[in-house]
Amino acid sequence: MQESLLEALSLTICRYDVWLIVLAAAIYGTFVGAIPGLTATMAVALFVPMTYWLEPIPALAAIVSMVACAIFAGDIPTALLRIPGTPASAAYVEQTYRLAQKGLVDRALGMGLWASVIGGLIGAVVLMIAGDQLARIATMFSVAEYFWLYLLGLSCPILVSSDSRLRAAFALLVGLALSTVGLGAVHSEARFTFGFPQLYQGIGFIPAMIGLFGLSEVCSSLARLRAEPEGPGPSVQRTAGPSRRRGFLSYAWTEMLAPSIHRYWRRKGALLRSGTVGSAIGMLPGAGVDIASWVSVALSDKNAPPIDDNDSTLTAQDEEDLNAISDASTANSSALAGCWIPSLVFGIPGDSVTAIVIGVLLMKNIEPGPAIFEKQAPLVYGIYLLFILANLMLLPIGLLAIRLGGYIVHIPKNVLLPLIILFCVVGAYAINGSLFDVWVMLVMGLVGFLFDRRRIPLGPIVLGMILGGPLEERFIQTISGANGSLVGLIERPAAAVLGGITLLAWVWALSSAFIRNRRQNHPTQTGGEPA
Amino acid sequence: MQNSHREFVPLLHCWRGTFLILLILCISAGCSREDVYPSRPIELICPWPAGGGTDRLARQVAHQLERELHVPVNVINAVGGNGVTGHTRGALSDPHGYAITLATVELNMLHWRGLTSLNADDFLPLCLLNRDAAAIFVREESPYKTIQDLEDAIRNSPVPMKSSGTSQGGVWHAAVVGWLVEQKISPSQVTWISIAGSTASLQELVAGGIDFACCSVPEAAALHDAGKIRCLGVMSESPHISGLPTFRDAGIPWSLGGWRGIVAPKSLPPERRDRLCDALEKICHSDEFADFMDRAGFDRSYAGFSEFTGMLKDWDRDLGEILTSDAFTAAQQPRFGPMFFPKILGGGLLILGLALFVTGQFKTASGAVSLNAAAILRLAIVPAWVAGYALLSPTLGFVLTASLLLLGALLALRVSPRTAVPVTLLTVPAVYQLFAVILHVSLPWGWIGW
Repeated sequence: MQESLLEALSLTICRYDVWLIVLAAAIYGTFVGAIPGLTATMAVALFVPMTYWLEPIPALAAIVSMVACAIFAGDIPTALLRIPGTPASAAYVEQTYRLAQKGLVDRALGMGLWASVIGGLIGAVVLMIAGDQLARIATMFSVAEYFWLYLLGLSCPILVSSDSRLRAAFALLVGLALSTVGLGAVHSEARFTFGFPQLYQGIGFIPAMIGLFGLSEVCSSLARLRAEPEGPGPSVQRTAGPSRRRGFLSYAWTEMLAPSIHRYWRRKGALLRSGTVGSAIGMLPGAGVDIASWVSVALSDKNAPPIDDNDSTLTAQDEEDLNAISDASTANSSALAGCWIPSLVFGIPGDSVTAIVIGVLLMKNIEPGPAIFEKQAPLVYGIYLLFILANLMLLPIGLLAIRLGGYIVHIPKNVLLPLIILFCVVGAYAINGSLFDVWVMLVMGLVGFLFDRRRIPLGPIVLGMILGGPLEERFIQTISGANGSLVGLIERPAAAVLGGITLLAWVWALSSAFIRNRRQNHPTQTGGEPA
Repeated sequence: MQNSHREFVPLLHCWRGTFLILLILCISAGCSREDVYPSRPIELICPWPAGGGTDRLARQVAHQLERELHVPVNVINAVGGNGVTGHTRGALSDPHGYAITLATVELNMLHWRGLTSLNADDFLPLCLLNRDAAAIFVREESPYKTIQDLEDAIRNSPVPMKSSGTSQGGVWHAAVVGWLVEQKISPSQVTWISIAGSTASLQELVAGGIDFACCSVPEAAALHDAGKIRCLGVMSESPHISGLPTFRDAGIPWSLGGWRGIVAPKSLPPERRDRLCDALEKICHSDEFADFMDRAGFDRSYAGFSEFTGMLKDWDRDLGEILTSDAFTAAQQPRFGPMFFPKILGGGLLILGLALFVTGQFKTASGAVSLNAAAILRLAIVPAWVAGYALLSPTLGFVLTASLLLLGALLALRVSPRTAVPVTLLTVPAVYQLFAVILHVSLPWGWIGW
C-alpha cells in the first residue's frame, strides 16, 4: 500500500502539469457552473474530447476539479440573481438570496465556499477509508429501497418548511404533476403531450428551474423598478465591499472566511452529519448530489443558538439561513466523492458525471471494478489525492469568482435586468438546444412570479419535477415485480427500514405542526415569535 | 449606491475602444460563405443522455468528424421518450447537412409500438457504426450455470420469473420475448420489469430484485469483469464473442442485437451526402476509431450508405414481426395504467388547493408589490422578450435577434442610448463567442449564418 501511495504522490502532487490542469479545470468549472443552464454534467461532457489527449491522471484531475468548482459556482448566480447555477443549489436558493438581499452576500457565499471545500475533503476521506465497504451496501439497493429513498427526499421540503407546510406541499404536488408529462419508462403511451413531439421527453427541469427562479425574479424586480431613468438600485447590496485601502485578501479573510470557519467550528456535529449524509446519498446510484442538498437542509437544526455572539447584525433568520447553506454545501460537495464509490468499485455510475468518468476510464483501458484496487492501486490513490488537491484549489478560485461576481451588483438595475433575461434564454436553450425549452422557461417564469406573490415556495416544484418520474417508475417496478401486491414495497428488510424512517419523519412533521398550531392559538405560552 | 453608478459609467466608456476590436473578432469568427459545405458548425443529435454508450460513441464521431470537415461538430443530447424526441428532431431538422443524427435500433421499433409515425424511411442512412448482440446475464450466486438451466427454470417456475434490461417494449425486451417464443416457452412465464437503461437494470440484478437481465455485452462489461454477474449466452450467430458462450453454441437458432448508425434528414442534397459519407467512411476505417471501439467494447460493423439502407429494411421487418406478435402484446399488461399517478396527484392538488383557499393562504402576500399599469407594462417586457426570441431567432439568428431585443428592452427601461448601444454591442457577441465558439453549445442559426 505504501508503495502505491508513494507512486500516487509522484503521479499527482509531484507533477506540475497536474497542478496546471487542476487550476485550468477549476477556472473552467467555476465559469460553466456559474452560467445558469450549464450544469456540472455539461461541463464534463463538453470536456470529454479533450481527455483523448490526456493521460488518465491528468484527465481525471481535470474532471474532479471542474465538478467540485462547478457545484460551488452554482451558488454565485443563486446569491446574486436568484438563478440556481446548478440543480444542486436549488435546495437553498431562498436562504442564499434572502441573505444577499440583506447585504450579506459575501457572508453567504463565503459560508458556501468554506463548506464546499470542507465537504469535499470529508467526501475524499470517506472515499479513502470506506469506499470498498460502502459500495457493497450500495449494491443492496433495489427498486423498492429507491422508492422509499425518493419518497423521503420528496418529503424534505415539507419537513423543512419554516413557513406554511400546506403551501410547500402544494408546490411539491405541482412539481410532481409536471413530472408526469411525457413518455415515462414504465408506460407505453405518452401523457399530456397535447400533440407536441417535444413534450415526449417531459418538461425539462433545467429550463423550468431557470424560469421559476430567474425569470420570475426579473419579473418582480421589473414590477418594483422605480420609473426614474437609469435609477441605480441593485437588488443585492454589499455591506462594505473591499476597498482599495484594505485589499481583497484581508477583506476575504475577515468578511468571508473567518466567520465561516468560526461558525463551522462551533457546529462540528452538524458538519459531521451533513458530510455523512452527503457521502451516503452520493454513493447510491441514481440518488446523487441534488437529493443530498435537500436532505441535509431538512436535517439542519432550526432555532439553533446564535453563533456570532458579538455580531449583532445577524437575526435569528440569518443564523438559520447560514446554517442551512453550510449544511447543504457540505453535503453536496461530499456527495460528489460519494458518487465515485460505486463507479470505481462496480462500474455502476453514481450520477451522470461519473457515468462519463467510466466512459473516460474505459477509453484509457482502465476497467472499473474491484480489481482496480489491486491492479491500479496507484491510480485509485491518485484519485483520492486529486480530490484533496481539487478542493484546496477551490478555495482561491472560489474567492476570486465571488469577487468577480460582485461586479454584477454595481450594474444599474435597468441595464442588468435585460441582460439577465438574455442569460435565462440562452441558458434554457443551451441544455438541449431546443426553442421549446425557451417557451417552457417563459411559462414557468410567469408561474413562478404568481406563486412568489402568494408566498408559495418554488424549490419544492423543482424537486418534484426531478424526483417525480423516478418515484413513479420505482413504485410501478416494485409493484409489478411483486405481481401487483403492495407488500412488495416492504418485503425486503432494507426497504422496510427505509419505509419506517419515512413514516417516522411524517409522524414527526405532523405532530410538530400540530404543536406549532396549538402554540399559535395560545400565543402567551411562547414569545409569539413569527416563523 | 450613487458611487457605484458613477464608477460604472466611465468603465463603460473605456470599454468602447475594446468593444470594436471584440466585435470585429466575433464577426470574423462567425461569418462565412454558405457556398462551401460545410462552412459552419454541425449538430450531431444523440437521442440518449450524456454519459451513456451512445453518447460516448457520438462524442468520438463528433471529435473525428470535426477534423475531417474542419468545422465544429457539437453533440446535442435530445433525450427522452425512449428515443422518440431525438429521432423526431433529427428527421424534422432542415436537410442542409448541418444536423445529422446518431440513430439507434429504437428507430426500427418505436413506430411498431405506435409511439410515433416516424420510421427508417424518414431518414437518409449514411453509415452503420456498430452492432451489439443481446446477452443474458444472471447474478454470480445464481444457481443457473447455462442457458439451458435458465430455460428449464423459466418453464417450471410456479410464478413468473422477473427480468429487465430496458423499458417495456425496448430492444432487449423484444430479444427476450423472441428467444422464449423460439424455445416454445410461454412469454407469460417472465414478468418484464420496465427499468430505463441497462445500468439501472444491472444494479437491480445485483441487488437481487430481478432473476436475470438482458442487455448488450459492453453495457455489462464492468460488472462482469468485477465478477458480480455471469453471462449465460450472447444472442449471436457467431461461435464466440469475447470468450462468452453464444446461443449458437447452445444450439438456439435465435439472434438479435442493437445497432447504431449515422442518418440524415431525407432530402439531403446528394453532394452533401457524399461529402459526409466519405468523411464517415474515413473515420470508420481509421486506427483511432478502431482503437476507441475496441477499448469501449463496442463491436465494429461498418456499412456504407447503400448497404445500410438495405439492412435497415430487413431489421425493420424482423423487429416488426416480434413487436406485433401476439406473444409480445400479451406480455405487456400494465398493472397500473398511465393515469394512476396523475389521478392521485390531481386529487391531492385539488384538496390542497381548496385547503389553501379556505385557510386564506392563497391570497397575494401583504409584502408583494402592487401591480399598477406602469408595472404591468414593464412586466410585459419579459414575455415579449422571450417570445420574440423564440419566434425570431430561427430566421434572424442569435446575434441579430438578441441584439434587437436587448437594445429594445434597455431603451424601454429608459437606459440612455449612450449606454444601451455599447452594452448591446459588447454583450451579445461576447455571449455568442462564449457559447458557440468556446463552449461548443449551439445557438440558433439564422439566414445570415450567425
